[in-house]
Amino acid sequence: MIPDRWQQVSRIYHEALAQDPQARETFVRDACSGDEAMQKEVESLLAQPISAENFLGQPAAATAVSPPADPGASLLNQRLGTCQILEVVGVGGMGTVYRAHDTKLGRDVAIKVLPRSLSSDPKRLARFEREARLLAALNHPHIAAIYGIEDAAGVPALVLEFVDGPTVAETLERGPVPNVEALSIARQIADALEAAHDRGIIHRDLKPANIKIKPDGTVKVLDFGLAKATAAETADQDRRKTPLTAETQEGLILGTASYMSPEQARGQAVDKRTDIWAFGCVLYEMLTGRAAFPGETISDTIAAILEREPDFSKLPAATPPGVRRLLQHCFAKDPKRRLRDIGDIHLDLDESRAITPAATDSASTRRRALDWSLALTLGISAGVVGMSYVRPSRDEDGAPIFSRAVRFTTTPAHEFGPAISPDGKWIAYLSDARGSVDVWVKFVAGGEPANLTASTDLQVQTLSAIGGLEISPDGSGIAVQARTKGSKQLTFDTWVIPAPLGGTPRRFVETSGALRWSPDGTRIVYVRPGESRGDAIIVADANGANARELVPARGGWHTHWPAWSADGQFIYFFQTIATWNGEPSEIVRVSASGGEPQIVVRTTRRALFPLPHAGGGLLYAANPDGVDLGLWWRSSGRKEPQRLTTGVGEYAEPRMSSDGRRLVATLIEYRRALVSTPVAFDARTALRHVTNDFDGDLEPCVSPRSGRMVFSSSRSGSRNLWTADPDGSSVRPLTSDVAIEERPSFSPDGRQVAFVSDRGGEHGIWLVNSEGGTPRRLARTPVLDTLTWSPDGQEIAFAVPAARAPELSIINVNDGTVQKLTTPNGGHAPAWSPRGDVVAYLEPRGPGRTYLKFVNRRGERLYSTLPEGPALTNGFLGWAPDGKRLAAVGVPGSANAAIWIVEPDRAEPFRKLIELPAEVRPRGITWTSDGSSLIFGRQEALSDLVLFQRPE
Amino acid sequence: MTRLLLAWKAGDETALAQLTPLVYAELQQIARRCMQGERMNRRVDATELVNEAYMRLVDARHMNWQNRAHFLAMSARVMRRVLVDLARTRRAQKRGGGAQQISLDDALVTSEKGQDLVALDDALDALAKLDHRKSRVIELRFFGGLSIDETAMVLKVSPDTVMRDWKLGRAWLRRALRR
Repeated sequence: MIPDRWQQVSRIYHEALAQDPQARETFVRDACSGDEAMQKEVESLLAQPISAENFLGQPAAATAVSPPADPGASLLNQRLGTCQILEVVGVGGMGTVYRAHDTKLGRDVAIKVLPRSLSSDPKRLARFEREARLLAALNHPHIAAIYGIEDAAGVPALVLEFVDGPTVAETLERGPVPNVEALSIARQIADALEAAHDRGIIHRDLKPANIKIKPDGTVKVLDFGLAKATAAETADQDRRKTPLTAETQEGLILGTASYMSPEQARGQAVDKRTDIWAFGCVLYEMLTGRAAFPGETISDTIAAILEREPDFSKLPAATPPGVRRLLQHCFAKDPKRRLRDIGDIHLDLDESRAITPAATDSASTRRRALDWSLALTLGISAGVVGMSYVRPSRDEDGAPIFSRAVRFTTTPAHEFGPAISPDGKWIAYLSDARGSVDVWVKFVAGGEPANLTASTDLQVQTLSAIGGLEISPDGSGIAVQARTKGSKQLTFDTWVIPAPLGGTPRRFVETSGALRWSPDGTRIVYVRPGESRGDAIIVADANGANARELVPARGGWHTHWPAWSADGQFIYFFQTIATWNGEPSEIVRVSASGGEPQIVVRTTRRALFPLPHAGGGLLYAANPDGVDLGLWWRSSGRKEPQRLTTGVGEYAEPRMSSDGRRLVATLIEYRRALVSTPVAFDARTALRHVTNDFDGDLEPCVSPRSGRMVFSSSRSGSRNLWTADPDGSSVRPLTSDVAIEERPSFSPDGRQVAFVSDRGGEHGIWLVNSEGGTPRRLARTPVLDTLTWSPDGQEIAFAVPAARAPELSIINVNDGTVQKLTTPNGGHAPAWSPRGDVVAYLEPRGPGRTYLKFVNRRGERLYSTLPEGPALTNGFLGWAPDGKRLAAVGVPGSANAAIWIVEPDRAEPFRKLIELPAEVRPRGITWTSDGSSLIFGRQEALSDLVLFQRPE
Repeated sequence: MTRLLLAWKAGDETALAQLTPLVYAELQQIARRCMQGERMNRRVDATELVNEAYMRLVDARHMNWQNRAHFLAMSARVMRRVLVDLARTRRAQKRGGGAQQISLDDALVTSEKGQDLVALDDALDALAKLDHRKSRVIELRFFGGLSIDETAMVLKVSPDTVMRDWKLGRAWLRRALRR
């Protein structure tokens, strides 16, 4: 053929491909305008089923060294059992697939001929047949059924349900799937996974090419469990292998690598959570039209899976927040942190359906408008997506510019309190990877982290978010809050450990924390902790001499995280009252030479971790628009602060290298859920999730009348009040302001709910009808922890911060007048008995020493002969409906949190009901109305370090 | 090796002549090992093989992404020769020995879907005469395991062009092999 003519054929071929299939014939005929030879040429090229056969689609060496899928062609038009083979419908990674007709049952079936290598090993074949029988028992409308196994000339062939229609992979070739359709497909996939997981069957190879959509829209998941059934080796052997050889048995091609979970990529054992990861990948790809973890080569893809976060900014703007959140929970690198149950996926998808009503076929503009208004009422900021560091819109602010975040640590352990070396080459941080909290150093360039305190006799303070580590300006030492192991001292000192390689620590400053060297290295600043009396800020020479109090203690407030301005002129820090969530808190600045502190960032929520920048701007963590902390930037020109990070999870403790090129921060993900336990002192005591870990549900309170439960939840994006039955069903919103609404408490008659809110830009106590309606403000006041009603429903008790110790107050519900409830040593966490003149509360007596006490309405001590009982730091109290028993939950000293049942009139008043896992903190506790069970808020914080780097 | 590759990239064609046998030997060794059971039970894709050769031959610290793509581009041709030569050898052996039973190695000679490598090799030569670039695209993608973007960079054309060449080239080859 002459080249010109070939060019023409080529052009018509491509133009024809761009047409609808039905229009192609006419198009080619017209384009060739009577040149029949050319028309035939183009038509014969168009007729080649290159896509269906994936012709040459796998690189040569793959086909070259893989076992042949024969007897392939030879099966055509043959009989296999009761099946007449009709045509080849596909060539998958695992073998050739035929359409056949089962003449006995009169239905079409698919026949998949499996690799010959399967039959060469009798053990493996036997295992495959065993697995296949198990899989054949899976009968579900969204799972393509396995009908049986036939023998095709010595090679096993599976007889499968024939599913007509394109795969999701084929659908994706045309671009992203519209939101509503994608969610419908996802829901059906989740259904299929749930049914399989219930029977203990894991898919292991879920991907777009394994999901078919029938013409009526029904989704069928194919090849369930086949990856394992046909695998060459047992899972045990897999575990010892390297990433590229394990779990990549028959038919690993690049496409499959993209959907591997991190544990699969590492060659570790997998469980059902591997399917949840893959489900996330499929959903993400449907919504965006692109792979969640793209890579040109297998190694690039695996690197992306192990280290990077998907780009959530690629999700369509109309993606419901529930779906974004769901995706983020599917993509937790550590399977322990991933959604544990496909049933939870279900909830999230159903919820998202609920808030994207019939937007299916409306114009996209209308859909956007609709979602926007929903976003407003639900308090969701429109841009809140994904974990990425967003470039501030204006660079001239001197705002730091960073590329996307990389997880610096990805272990299941908690990493926090990071500091970055002046040259930015290594990072010191705290981690409980070894059990106890230690100081670790890891180089940015790579390598294993080194534990610097394992061989010392230091006990490192485990608190996060108060100071973290500090590296001296010459990089030779790391300052850490610690005390010697086994010492009786209650406070911690600052020690310095040689860096970066470690060595013998030396005690630097006694009873101090959050030490920071000035930029020129000549001075230090630190916090001298004073518990509820407040903390003072001290400055001194670099050797610790000439210490003087720069900022005196502020009663009832805690002071943390001092930070020098780049020129050494100012010291920034933050202050907060002792609420469990640290709200409110504010950033304050003081001249390093003394004077009045000025508030720099004021908020009813949190403004923490100031990081002053050389140009006068300030980077800090805050949550003015939601529940979770993000990093914010405020330029020296006092423009509106800009949000730098987006996404679920909190960014805390940011630290920057002195050249400004690298920034490290702690990323905290919370698991918050309502859980219940029966009140029974026997083996039946076990925790059960009432709501799932990802909706941010806390602070439950059951109505003594209706038995219904009210709680605070961040499921809509901001913290609001919701009601539900005590088993977690029939969830309904009670309030929906963009303000924080929390710590709800039912009135004794069940008609009203008192709660704490920052509505109107100020903390206060509010009341709302338990059936809904407009809340009314009862008082403007800070509230330390719980609200509790008097038995007659006329008064509410609560605690406020005060100079020496928190104090109890009582407010009249009718006129809003407040009076003190004077107790001997102050108190907080009040719980008013429903049956009498008894207020239980917690009395703080120093670090780790908080005890249960009782007074009457006049402040006279009751049950004064009761033993002290367990320490209940960060505790919550709740009376049983009978008024005889009290549940007390708190952290006793350094041990795990535990729930105690206290019966003041009993001979042995304190009985431990259950000890909670070490990582769990209680947040609110209530009894079911029959007094048989407790429901409490369970909070678990998981933290990793993330590293942002300035682009080169 | 690295030096040769850099020289070749800088335009020194004699460097290519020196490089090819090195890469050929390495790829052949890897390919044989794959077939001799070390990886019998899994598929191996070309990218992986070439990556392995690359890691062995080249000091990766001195190579950037473009160099790597050029290496892959060169390997594609070498890979084609390795595989086709192996296929020819097997075919000859089989004829000579009169072996009838199907072994794993037969995959090289008569793998499914007309991917008879010897025939494909001939067809590719024919395509090259008609449209050199399309045959090169197929060679890079199929034998070298290059992505669309990498192919585009090596051939200095747009990814869209590569995509079109890839489609039409495959259709042409499939038809040629079916005839």
